[in-house]
Parts: sequence; structure tokens; C-alpha cells
Amino acid sequence: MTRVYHVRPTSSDLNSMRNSGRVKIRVFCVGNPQRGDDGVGHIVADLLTGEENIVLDKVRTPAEILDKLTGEEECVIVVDAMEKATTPGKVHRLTSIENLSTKTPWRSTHSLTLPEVLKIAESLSLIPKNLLVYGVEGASFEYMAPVSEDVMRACYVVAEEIRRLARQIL
Amino acid sequence: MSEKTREYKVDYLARVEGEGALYIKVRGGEVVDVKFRIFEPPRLFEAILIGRMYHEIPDITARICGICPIAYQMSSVHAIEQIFGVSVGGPLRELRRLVYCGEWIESHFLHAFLLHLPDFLGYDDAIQMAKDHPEQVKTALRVKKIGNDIVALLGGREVHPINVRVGGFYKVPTKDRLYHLKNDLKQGKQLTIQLLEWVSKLDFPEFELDYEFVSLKHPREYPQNEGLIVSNRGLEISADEFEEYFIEEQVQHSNALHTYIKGRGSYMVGPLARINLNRDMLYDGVREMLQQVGFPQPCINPFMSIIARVAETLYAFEESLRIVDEYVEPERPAVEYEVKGGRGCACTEAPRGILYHRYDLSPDGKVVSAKIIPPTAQNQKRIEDDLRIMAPSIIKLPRQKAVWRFEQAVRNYDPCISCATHFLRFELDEE
Repeated sequence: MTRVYHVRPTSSDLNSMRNSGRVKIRVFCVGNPQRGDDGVGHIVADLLTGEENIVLDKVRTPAEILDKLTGEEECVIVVDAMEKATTPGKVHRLTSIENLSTKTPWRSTHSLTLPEVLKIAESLSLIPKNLLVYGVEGASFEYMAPVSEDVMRACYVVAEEIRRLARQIL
Repeated sequence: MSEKTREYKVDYLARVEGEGALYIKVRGGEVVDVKFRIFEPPRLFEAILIGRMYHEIPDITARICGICPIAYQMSSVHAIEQIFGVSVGGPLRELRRLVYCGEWIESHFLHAFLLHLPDFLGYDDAIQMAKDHPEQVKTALRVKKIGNDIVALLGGREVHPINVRVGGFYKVPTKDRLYHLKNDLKQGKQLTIQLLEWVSKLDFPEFELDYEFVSLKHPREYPQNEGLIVSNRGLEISADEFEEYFIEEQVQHSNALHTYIKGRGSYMVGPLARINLNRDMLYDGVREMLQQVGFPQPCINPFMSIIARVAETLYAFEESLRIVDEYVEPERPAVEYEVKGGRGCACTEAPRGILYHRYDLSPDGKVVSAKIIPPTAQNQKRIEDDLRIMAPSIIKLPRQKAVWRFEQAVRNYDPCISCATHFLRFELDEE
């Protein structure tokens, strides 16, 4: 059965998030800033630094998310770059773990993919009701390449959406 | 394929570190071909190192593996320190053991509970297993995280740490900072005891073999950074003599060189070998636990390597607690040394077994030549021999179960294929 998570918290979710003493929004910013557009996650993290209600985690590999999730989060957001894309800078908002592509099978921890990490986390009841995965289509992942313009613009869009969500909880 | 010929193929081995495949051919009940194929492309690290300065080696070689970078850093600094005539003792030596403990904890638990355990419980992968055994998986992830935290504290970050250097560290923690680990270490120890009891009750396939086990041996401690290379068949040599006794050979079907002991053949390195050769150096509590759970001495069933991994994790927690308690912050983060040319060799105990490094440096400290022999390259021939010996009984199982069992037998060794692929020469013999 496909479990679909909320794209945005409902008003009752927002109330409950406001009143809980738990981590409001935890944003996992995935990627390698030395690999061009793979730096999306880290750029978004920099744009959100200092924002209230948000706990930011810069991680290089999806596997690190498993180490950091506590199950005490109200809302989990993941920001990552998407490879083999056709429209650089296009932002995908994904809310169903089942529907995340798992074309690459479970192979090893050297290449544990984001969908696999989220599926394990879901099995362990570590994923809250509010989950949003931002996938930003990238153009270049070359070593030391600059982040492409379209992708940089997308980072601002993603950061603004997360910021708005965080402020709704205030 | 003739009527009496059967092939067992796994084109892409799952739950191992890196890219490998398995091929077994049986004709009339007789195993005629066994290939553990490593097709991940060669990494060429030894060539990359040539011309680089000695102080770059620990950080470059750490990139060989995301799971055991500390092992690469340790073997490299020890080899270079041998050339410079430097000895690192006291608290700096203790911190090196501590960061190695962190790596053992994270690597052992990752393999034991996410990669190997599904074999014993009948799951295709950890995702399926986590649904039915969430508490065990959560506990294992918690323990693994403590290992990560140790590496992050001493290494600067969890993956590919950057704080290890020739002579010691770039920065060392204060006593207070290290002491903060203590509660987590105590908790990790308790959780590991529970999981050791649990994995000991798994159903282990019956298979025993008279292996040649090889590991380091140190007169006063369970081996990690130092010691002679020994075996249960009388081998006792220093790292300087490694290449006189161990031979690397190229095989057509693999991008990793096979290693064997001259005149003897394949051998096993890793946790099972270490425990069998160094059980007397474990803490009393770990030894008693092993006795309590019925772990044989010596243990010659490779499927029980999962117990050895968890027991070594327990050792790593005990050792970490001791180091944290006794730690005195050193005056300097590294000892001084003078750069010299020459040859240095070192072996340290990576999670998967002994890791050999040899470097030739020019007088100004540039790498002239490098040789790195990781544990998986050493176990590769042994894995094929295991499969060859197990095959006659495994092929009596239904096909799907047989393939499963063959894969499980490979995973007994926790092969890190990414580490092992490094051969440089390829010769094509055509008529």
C-alpha cells in the first residue's frame, strides 16, 4: 500500500506542531558542494541558517539521514539534487516514499539511495506524518563545477517555501 | 549447456560493499568452476599517490573507502613513521586506538545488522527485515551512530575524516570533550551485549573448515595498530616481510588481485581470524560473554563471523571506555619528526582484516612507489575456496535457496569490493 505523506501540514497539524515540544521541522540537505549542482542541499541549508523552528542537517550521503532521524520530528524535509534530469532547475515535490524511484536496487552502503533510506526509516517508524522531499533537477555534477543558474534560482524557491512553512508554525 | 551441467549466477551481488558477481558451474555433481568476480573498475590509487607528498597520503588513501577510511589512514601513517623513525606513544597512541574503535563499531554493525543479518532471518534486504524486527534494527543503528560519533570527534567528520596525520593528529580533544562520550559508550556497550546474545541464537549453517587464520598479534593488547603478522599455522613475521610470504596474483575474471601465502594458498583475515588468534587479549567480560553464548574456540564456521563482529564491537566499547577514563590531554597533537627518504611498511587491522601499506619516499618526502593490499583482496581466494568446498552440499538445495546460500557465504567475509579493486597491469595472451 502506498502511504502518501502530507505535502504541507494541515491547519490542525500546524496547531499540533506549534504546541509540541518536539523538533518542528528537520531539513536534511543532501549533497556534495564540490560537485556542481549536487550542492543544492547545502545551498538551501545556507539560505535557511538562523531560521526559527528549523533544525538543519547538511549530509553528504542519504545513509547519514538514518543516523540522525530520531522519530521525534514533527516534519521532515529532504532536499537533494536529481540526476539524469531534462529540465535543470525544475523542482519536484515528492510526498510518497513508495513512488520514489528505486530503479537502482539495494546494493551497498556505498550507494544506499534516498528512497531506500526513507523506506528503512519508514519501517522503523522514524518518518513523521509530514514528509516532503524536494528534488531539484541538476545540469552538471562535475568536480568543482559552479552551481548552474537555473539550479541556484531553484534553491531560493525551495528555501522560501520551507521558510514560509516554518513561520506558519510560529 | 549440457543436460548435466548447471550454472548458478548472481550477476550483481547484493548487500556487499561495491560491485561484484558470482559464477558457479557444476557438471554431473562436480563443481568445475567457481568465480567471485569483481567488476568494479580499478581505482588506481597506488598510481595516484606517486609524486605526492608524504603528508597527503593519509587523506588520499582514506578516500579508498567510505566505510573504513581510518584503517587506510592508520596503515599509511605507521608506514611513513617507520621511514622517519618516529614512534607515537602515550595519549596520541591511545587516541589512535579510540578512533579505530569508532570505525570498528560503525563498520561491524553496518555489516552485521543491515547486510548480513537478513540472510539468517530470510529477508531479501534490510528494508523488509526492518518491518518485522524494528527494535533490533533501531538498536543497531543507535550503536552504529556511537561509532560514527567517535570518528567524527577524533577525525573531524564521520565520512572520510581529515584529522589524522603523520606523528599524531592535527587537533586533539580536551579531556572534558572526550569524557562527554562516556554515557553513550556505556549505553552502546549494554546494547551490544543484548545484540550479541540475540545473534548467537541465529540458525547457523553447518560448515566447518580447517582455515589458516591470519591477523596481527600484540603481546599486551587486542591488535589494531601494531603487532606481528601471525597465523594458526606458525606464520610469525613483521610487516616488512609481508611481501616475502604473501603473493598477489592477477586473475582474468576479477579486477582485484588475489593474495595467497607462498607455498600454502588461501587464508582468512578479519574478525573471525582476529578472535581466534587473540581471544586471550579480549577483556574478561567479552571472553565470558563468548563462552556464555557458546562461541567455539577456535570457531571454524565462517557463518558465525557475525558473532565475531558483534563481540569485537563489544571489545571496542570496553576499550573506548578505558581510553576515555585514562586519557590525559597531550601537550602537542603530534610528535615532531624529520622528513627522510626510504621504505616503510605497516599492517593494521581494518574491520575486515589486515591492511598492508608499503611506501618508498624520496629524501624530500615524495612518494616514489606505493603498494596497498586491502583485506578483501586477501580474502578473495579464500571466498572462492569456500564456495568450491560448500558447493556439493549447497547444490542439493532448491535452486533459489542454493543461490541464497552461496551469496550468504560471500557475505560471511563482509567483502569491501571498492577497496579491493586496484590492479594496475593487464596482460592479454592471444594466439
